[in-house]
Amino acid sequence: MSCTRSTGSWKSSDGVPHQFPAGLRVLVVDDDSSSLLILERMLLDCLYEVTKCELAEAALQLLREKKDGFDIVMSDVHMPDMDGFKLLEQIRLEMDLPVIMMSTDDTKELVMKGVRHGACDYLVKPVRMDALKNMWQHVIRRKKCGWKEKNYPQQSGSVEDGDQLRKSLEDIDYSSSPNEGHLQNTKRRKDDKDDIEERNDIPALKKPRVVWSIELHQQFETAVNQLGVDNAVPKKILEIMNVPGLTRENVASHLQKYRVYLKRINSRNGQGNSFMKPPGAAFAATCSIKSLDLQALAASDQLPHHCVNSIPTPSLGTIATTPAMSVIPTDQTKILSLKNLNMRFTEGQQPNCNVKQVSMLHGVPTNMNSKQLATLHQAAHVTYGNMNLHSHPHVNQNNLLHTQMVQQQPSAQISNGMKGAHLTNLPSVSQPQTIPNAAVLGGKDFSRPAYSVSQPSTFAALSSCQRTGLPGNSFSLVRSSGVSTLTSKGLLPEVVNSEVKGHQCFLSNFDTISDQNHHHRNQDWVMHQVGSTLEARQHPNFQLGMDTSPTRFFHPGFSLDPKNVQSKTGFSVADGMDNQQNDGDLLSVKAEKFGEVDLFPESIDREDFMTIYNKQASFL
Amino acid sequence: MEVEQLQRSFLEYIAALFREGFLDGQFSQLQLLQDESNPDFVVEVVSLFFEDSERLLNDLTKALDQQNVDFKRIDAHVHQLKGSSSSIGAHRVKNACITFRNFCDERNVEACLRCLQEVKQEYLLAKTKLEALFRLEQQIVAAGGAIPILDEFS
Repeated sequence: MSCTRSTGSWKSSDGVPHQFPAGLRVLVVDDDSSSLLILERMLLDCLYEVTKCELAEAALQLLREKKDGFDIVMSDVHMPDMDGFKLLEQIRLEMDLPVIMMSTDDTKELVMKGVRHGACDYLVKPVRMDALKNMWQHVIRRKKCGWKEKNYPQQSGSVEDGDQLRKSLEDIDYSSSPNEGHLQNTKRRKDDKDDIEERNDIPALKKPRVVWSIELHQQFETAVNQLGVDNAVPKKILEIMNVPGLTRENVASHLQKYRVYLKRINSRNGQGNSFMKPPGAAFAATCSIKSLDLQALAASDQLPHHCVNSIPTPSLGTIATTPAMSVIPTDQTKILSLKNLNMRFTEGQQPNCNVKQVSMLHGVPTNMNSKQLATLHQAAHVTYGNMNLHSHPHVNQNNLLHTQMVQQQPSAQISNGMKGAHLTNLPSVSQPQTIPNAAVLGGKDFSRPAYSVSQPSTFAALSSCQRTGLPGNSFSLVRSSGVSTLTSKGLLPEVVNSEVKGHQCFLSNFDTISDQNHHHRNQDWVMHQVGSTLEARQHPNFQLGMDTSPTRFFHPGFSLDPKNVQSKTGFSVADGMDNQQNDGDLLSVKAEKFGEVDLFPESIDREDFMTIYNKQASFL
Repeated sequence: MEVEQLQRSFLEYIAALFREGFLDGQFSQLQLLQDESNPDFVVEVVSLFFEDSERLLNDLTKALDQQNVDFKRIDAHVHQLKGSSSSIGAHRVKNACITFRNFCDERNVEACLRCLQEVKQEYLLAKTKLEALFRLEQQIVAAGGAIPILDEFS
């Protein structure tokens, strides 16, 4: 028999299922027996359950016989009876398990081939223990994305698995994981609890939209790769995919997002910042969110930011206020061009411009609980008094994030509600990225008319929001790392003029923000501001969403009183903002309403921010 | 004590193997995987390597002896040999395989035959040395000692 199974001695002795990831069921396929033995030994040392197979055919048979008998498959590339990639395809098609490819060859072509065929990883032999220790992330990632797509939380098996995994996850020490997936998992973990609640709401709010499931996205990706990323046109992709019921428009919008995603990945790789490297599945998962209620989305930590992006515009429109839409018509185009994930968000968010606010920050819906906010953490939410905004917490976030990203700061980290995931490191922030969200747009495009969001950044988003000066909008100031918080230079004045009145706090925030130097790197913060949203012109990463209710500040310690603004706690968010100095506009705003306030002491770090954010969240 | 002497000889011998490039870090990894519950792990793996290699070398000899040399097949065999030698840390064998593959790409029969000789030689050397190493290990264990692990090469 070419397949043998072995488990660690611990299992046979007590029979009690150990905590995940121990007990992960791995199937290893390799024609080289010494290699197989070594891998088995290493996997057993990781406390996984290992089954060895020397022949690909035998492996397939085993997989077919034991459906759900394995969690992950590892396969060698070069095998005599079947090409490793072919096996990979088969497995993905039939069982949809995560597959890791292995080979002594590490040429780019081979690795690329693996990616194209859907491998979730490629290990170079001889494989080291480190690579195997965190292998379980692929299983979790897949399951998480799969869960998102499920509309029925009570689905048999999935919930239990989810609960079990959740519990296990909580016990897992993520800190040691060197992988990117770690971040994602961390976020997801936190979101787990929210997810269940969210999912219950989903069916009710579901809109009839195309859900880009992992499978569907795989088909899409295959089609795109076949055509060549540059030549992929929606019509041809549609033809190749040959999915009934799928329209060219669906493909087109998905393609846009995909391009953004690719660019983001590329730029992010260039930056070395890969906080969230969404696998194809993740991307698809994002899209699947479209149909979900935005609110649910916002609340759900699980949504990777790019998921949020997938929020379709139309749905947003329904929830969001249409008027906002009109605010930023131009943004739309820009949004599309944005590379960042935020871009994606913004796309979906266009209709979101509710209430004429262009706040880049996603308005933090009042109904968002602190938990949700926490997840959003980086996104600046601009929530205009408009409830529509609330409905799309994510959307707004995206927008904001987007703006941030756009705004220059490469490090801008706008977390679309994604925990820990800095929204896309807005590496390409410098371009004026349109923020799909009307609110977001405010940042960039938005600023066009009224905002001078010249600086791509969260501020832009804010500024846009400001413009409309929607009262009662609450926004969160998202500070991307490295991006000065106040980016909206020119915006501020406008903003100030427009609505500042009610949002004194905001202004003062700006002041402080603008005073900060850009240090921004790792300072992500989200500040929810109640009151008008200021356009943060100068600080790309600064997104301010102002709630129209003037006296409400995101930060608990924050009051409208300018003096309070200075309190660090009040603006831990601002803290993150470093420094970009604000230009006179901010100051002018400041002068108008507030005194000099150092809202953002530089020392604020993300953790502090989050704390504040969370507190604020409830405030909102 | 005899055990200590044996252990010292063992360490010296294995250090020399690393120094001369016969073994690399991967071999140390294998040693680390060996423990009380798997006391013969390294020997098992290396034995499998010997079996696979001899089979592959025979296949290669036959393939190069053909009228029409099937380079694709040869390349596949050499790739396999490269894989198994690298997985146990047989450094020089692995390098010889890499060279061999380059000539395969060029479809140069003469050069391939020379490479095959080279690989066979390296393989035999590695086999001899590893067998000597295992004998030393057995002696240590028989004398009641533990097999020391050379840290610097891990």
